[in-house]
Amino acid sequence: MQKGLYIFIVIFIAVLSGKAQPEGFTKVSDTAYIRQKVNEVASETNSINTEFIQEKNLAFLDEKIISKGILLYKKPEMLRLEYTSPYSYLLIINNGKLLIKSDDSEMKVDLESSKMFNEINDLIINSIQGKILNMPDLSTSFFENKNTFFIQLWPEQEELKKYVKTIELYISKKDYTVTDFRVIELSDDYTLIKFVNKKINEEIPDERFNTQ
Amino acid sequence: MKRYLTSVLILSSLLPVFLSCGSLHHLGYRKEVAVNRVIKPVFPPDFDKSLYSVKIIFGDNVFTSLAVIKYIPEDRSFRLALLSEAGMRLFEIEFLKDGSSQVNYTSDFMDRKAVVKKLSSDFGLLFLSGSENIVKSFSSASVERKYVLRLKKDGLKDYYFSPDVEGPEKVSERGCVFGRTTVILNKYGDKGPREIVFTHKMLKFEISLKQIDYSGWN
Repeated sequence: MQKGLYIFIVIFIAVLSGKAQPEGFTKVSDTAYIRQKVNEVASETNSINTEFIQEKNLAFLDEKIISKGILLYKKPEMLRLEYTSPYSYLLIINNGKLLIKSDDSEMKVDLESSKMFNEINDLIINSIQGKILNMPDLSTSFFENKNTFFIQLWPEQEELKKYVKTIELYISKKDYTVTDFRVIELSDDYTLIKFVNKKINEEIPDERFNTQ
Repeated sequence: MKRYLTSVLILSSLLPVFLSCGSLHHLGYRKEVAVNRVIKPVFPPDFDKSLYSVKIIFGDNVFTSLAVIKYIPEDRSFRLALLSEAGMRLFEIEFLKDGSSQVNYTSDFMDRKAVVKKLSSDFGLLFLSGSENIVKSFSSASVERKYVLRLKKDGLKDYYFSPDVEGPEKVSERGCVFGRTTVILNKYGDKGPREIVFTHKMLKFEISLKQIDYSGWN
C-alpha cells in the first residue's frame, strides 16, 4: 500500500513538473555517447544552409502562426536568419555585431554591449549544432525512439529562467544533427522550429553575413 | 511670494494640457444636437483574428515586432499579444467587454510601469466594447456625413468617422502627461484597418502597425 502511494506521488510530481517521459520515447541512460557524437559532428560542421519552418503557439489562439525562412551558419560564429514568409525579417550575427532588418527599419547592435542579445546569440548558435548540450547551467534529460534522440533542457540561469521554461531538441540518429528545436515559455506558449532541406558544409560566401 | 510662485508653477504645468486640447471647431466641426450617430468599431462584428507587423520608435530607438489581435467570442473580449519575429512573447493584454483591460504578461525587459500603462491605453483606443457613452457629437461643416463622436471611455476620446469608411479614420485622446495621442487608421478591409499609426504630441513615441497578408489561418 505504502509502495503504491509512493509510485503515485512520484508520477504525480513528474506530471506536474512537466518532466514526464514523452510519449513514444524511452529514457536514455548512457548520454555520454550521444554528447560525444553530437560534438564530433558539430566540430566537423563548417557551415549549415537550411530552410526552416517556425510554429508559434499561443494559448489564446486557436491556430498557430507559421513562418518560413532560411538559416545560414558558418564557423566560427556567423549566422544569418532570414524570415521570408509571411513577413520579411533579417537577423545577421557576425564578429560580435548584430544587424536586424525588417521592411522599413534597420538596427545594429554591438553584442558585447548587450547581455540579452549575447545570450540569445549563444543559444541560437549552440542550438543549431546541438552544442547547447555542453552549455553550463542547463539540466538535461535524454530520450530516444527508433530514429530520434529527444533531449529536454531546463535553464538554471536566472536570466534565462525569466523567459524560458524548457528547451527541447530533436536530434536525428542518422547524422546527429538537430532536426527540430522547441522553446517553451513559462506560460507554456511555445515556438517550434523545424529544419528542412539541410545542407551541411556547402560553401557560403562571407558576404551573406555582412552586417554593414 | 510663495503663493505667487505656486500659482505660476500650477499654471505652467497645466499649460501643455490646455494646449493639447485643441477645439474641434478649429477643425471645421460644429456641435450637433439630437442626432443619432453610429459608433462604427475599428474591427468588424465578424472579426476573428489578425496579424500585424509593428514598428515602435521611441526617441532614437527603433524596435520591430509582430502583433496578434484575436476576438474571444465566449467573453466578448479582445486579446493582443506583441511577439518578437522569432516568436518570443513580449507583451499580452486583454480588453474586456466592460471596457477595462488586464495585462496578462510583460517580458522582463519591457516591464516598466509607464511603458505598460501607455501601451495599454494606446491599444485600448482600438477596442470599443459597446459600453461607451456618446457625450457629444459634431458634424463637419465642409464635408457631408463626416462626424466626430466624443465618447466617454476611461476619459474622453474623439472618434472621427467618414462616409463609406467602415470604422473610425482617426482617434484622438487628450492626455495630461504625454499630451494628445492621435491614432490614424487606414485602408479598412474585412479584418479591420490595414494600417494603424499612434503618435504622441509631447513625446517622440510612435507605434505603427501594418496588417500582414497571412493565408495560414482559416
